[in-house]
Amino acid sequence: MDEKQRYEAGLKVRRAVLGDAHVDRSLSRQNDFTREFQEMITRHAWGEIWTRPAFDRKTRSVMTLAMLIALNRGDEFKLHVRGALNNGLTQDDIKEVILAAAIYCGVPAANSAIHQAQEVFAAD
Amino acid sequence: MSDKRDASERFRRGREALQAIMGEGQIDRLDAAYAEVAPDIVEFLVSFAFGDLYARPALKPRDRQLATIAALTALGTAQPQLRSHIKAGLAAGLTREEIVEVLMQMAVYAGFPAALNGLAAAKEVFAEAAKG
Repeated sequence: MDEKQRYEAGLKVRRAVLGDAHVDRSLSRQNDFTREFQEMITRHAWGEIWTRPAFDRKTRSVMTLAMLIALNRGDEFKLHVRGALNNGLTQDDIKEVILAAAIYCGVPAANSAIHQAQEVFAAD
Repeated sequence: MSDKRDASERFRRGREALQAIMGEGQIDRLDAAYAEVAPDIVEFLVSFAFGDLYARPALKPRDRQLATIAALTALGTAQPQLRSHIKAGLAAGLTREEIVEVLMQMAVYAGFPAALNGLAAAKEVFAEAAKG
């Protein structure tokens, strides 16, 4: 698969997970400063990692949510809460991830995640 | 040995606080550790952390060590410094039970792995202290 095909494969997964509305908005805001970065994450994160068949997308969402809580990346976490719902996780599944994170990352990290997840649910 | 840094009152105050906490000879150990790569870092550390901060009277030395032990445990990136401050905590009059209590409390705020790593550091320091 060449770079262009990898990008296209990534874009397809990115659209499926984050939704057309989000990806269209992101692409329309692309400019000379952000283009290479956008292409790189689409090609690499989405095209090389998320397309791998070993885990289904629900499983990848669980992993990603847990890591983003651990890294204290609130904005990315909210983005992936939306993605997790698109991938078929329920609100209860997301709650379970946050409860598990409380043990390893501490209660304040999980507390932020609970609030951030609720913001995403409320926006629906 | 003359020390150019003695011209600074902050440095002298910091060195006194440092050695009261970490034991006589600590300044020489720090100088030896960083002389080759970054000799000035010792002056920054002693003047700021110890001269400005640790020398303040509002917290008793033992209480300051409790705060420092909690912060270093939560950071999770400072295992050697955590060991030094657990040692300093014992010297400042904290009991093993008090140190273990604050490390366990960090499980709630920083997660179990951070607390378990903190307890491992305490175990090492307690074992060394027992050897004398």
